[in-house]
Amino acid sequence: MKISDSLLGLGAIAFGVLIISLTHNFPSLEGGYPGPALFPRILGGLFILFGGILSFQSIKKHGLANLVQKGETYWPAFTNYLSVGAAVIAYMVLVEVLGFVLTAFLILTLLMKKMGVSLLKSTLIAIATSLSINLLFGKFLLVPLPWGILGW
Amino acid sequence: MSGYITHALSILADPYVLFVITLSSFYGLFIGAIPGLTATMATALLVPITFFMDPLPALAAIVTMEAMAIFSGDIPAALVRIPGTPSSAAYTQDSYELTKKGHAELALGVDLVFSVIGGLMGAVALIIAAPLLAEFAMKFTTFEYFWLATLGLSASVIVSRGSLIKGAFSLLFGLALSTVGVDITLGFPRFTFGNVELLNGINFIPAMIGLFGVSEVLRNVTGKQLAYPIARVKASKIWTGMWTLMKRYKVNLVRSGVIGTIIGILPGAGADIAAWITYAVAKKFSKEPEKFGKGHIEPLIDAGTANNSALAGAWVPALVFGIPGDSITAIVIGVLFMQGLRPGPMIFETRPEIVYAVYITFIIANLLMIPFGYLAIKFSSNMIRVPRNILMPLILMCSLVGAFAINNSLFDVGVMLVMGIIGFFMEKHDIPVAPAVLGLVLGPIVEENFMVSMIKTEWDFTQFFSRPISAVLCVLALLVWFFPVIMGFLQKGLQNSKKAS
Repeated sequence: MKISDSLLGLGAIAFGVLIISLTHNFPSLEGGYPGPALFPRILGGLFILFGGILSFQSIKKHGLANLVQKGETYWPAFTNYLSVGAAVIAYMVLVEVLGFVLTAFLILTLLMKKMGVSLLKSTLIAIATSLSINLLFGKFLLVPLPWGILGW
Repeated sequence: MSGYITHALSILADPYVLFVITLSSFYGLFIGAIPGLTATMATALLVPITFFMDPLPALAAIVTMEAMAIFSGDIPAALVRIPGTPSSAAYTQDSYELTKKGHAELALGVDLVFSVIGGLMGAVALIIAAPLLAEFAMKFTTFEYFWLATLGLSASVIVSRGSLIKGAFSLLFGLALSTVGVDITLGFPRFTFGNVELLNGINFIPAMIGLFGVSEVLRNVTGKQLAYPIARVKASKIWTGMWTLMKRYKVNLVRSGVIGTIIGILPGAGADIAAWITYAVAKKFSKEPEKFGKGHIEPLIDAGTANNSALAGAWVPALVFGIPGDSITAIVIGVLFMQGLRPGPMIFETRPEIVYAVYITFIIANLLMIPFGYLAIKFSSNMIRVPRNILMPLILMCSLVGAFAINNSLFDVGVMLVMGIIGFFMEKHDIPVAPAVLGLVLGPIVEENFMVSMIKTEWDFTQFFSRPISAVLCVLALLVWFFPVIMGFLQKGLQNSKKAS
């Protein structure tokens, strides 16, 4: 899925407005000179300006048709995308509970399985990888990775 | 000076450092040869490991890795018609056509030999230019740094490929991210939404791992799996005819080495743009421009030399001013700061051994490329055939560990994921990523130097224009800003004059 340049421009305008509105309670410098708010406000203004130009150009050229281009629906691509996101979130939730080795092993096995690698191969590669990363960081670089409640 | 060189050499000769250099060579050759994985991604993933090393081996690892990766990106270009890194894209068509005609060995031989020569030319330029510029940069104050950073930011948009407005979006996004955290003038927390982790700003390394690592994983797992035939090569035959080519194309060699280095020095433009520009220049001056794109050797010589010479060029502004020449050196500047080193002219006085180590490593890396590159070509089909569905989960795991290990923070892992999704979105919508990286690095420099200058002169704007160096930089920045407008007028004028005639 792809959004059109006119929507992209409108998004940039909205982002610019958001930045500027978030700076309303920023303090000023002595003598009333702008301080922390100055730079973000300039950026917000430029977002609005360039967003406006892009939308204008795009609407002038293509009209308001095709705001969202659907593209080819390719189901495995979508589920692969989600599983990468899920893997990162699973890591954040699990790593301090289960420890690095176990978490990495689980995530790698499941992710490789999802991508179509055989279960045996996934498991073996996951074991080798999680142990060697742990060894690299823990023993070689002396940065301990989380141990987890099981102590490994 | 010779004292520093011997000091740097003695550190580099340490077995541990040599081991690091060897490992990062193989790492660079491998990542470069895998289509879809870039040298910038390789750098982002290497940083969490180098973070825990001394500065010298850390920088040596990055220099060696990037030199190797930019060469080995040429291998899949020749063998499967997919560039290993964007830097080989300009001459992929010619490389593959040569392979189809049965000249794969010639193409790869040129790729390797001219990469080495280009890399060495860049290194020599770095060694000569950096100290001279550093002496000049000692005169710079906050006004000059403001203009210099502004110039760098503007250049990064102008040279990015595709729509200028999208380049500007990317830059503004990077700058906006750089404003998160405690502000320079009053220590006021901006855009932190009460989150303590955001007080120090968005952590640079997790953001880079997201933008370059996770986004590339997302792109690879959502693309269709391609099963491509890989041409076979006889590695022992790659050296045949190289000397003759070097003699015949010596003008191309020097021209592209020089242009490549200059483009490398320009902030934001790196090896990939150097390759595209020298390809165009070569076609313009070639005696046989009609052969370009149909399996001609000249583009490989020109662009292959230029992309490697651009690498060392990019280190010039990075070391001298702390302004990155490309995305890789943008990450390097982050690494230097984390190591407690402030890039800028002072580093040439306070830690000269660091600078000499970078020089020497560039030369060592390019010489090592001859045997290692030969090995990479010999085992190329094994590298290119590594299954994507195993490699991508492994890269994701390395990204996770890397983003986490820098600060032992799970929040950083979240930053990585968000930036990965944003990077993926940007790629899909043809928004270049490099300006955002430059914005993130240079944002604080622009703002800090502007605010400090304003406060110390009590808001006297004239100082920005009245100091001599400052005024020159200002004029340059204005030229860059109005470059698209001027070019537009010129083109219109040309068209009109053509119509009239």
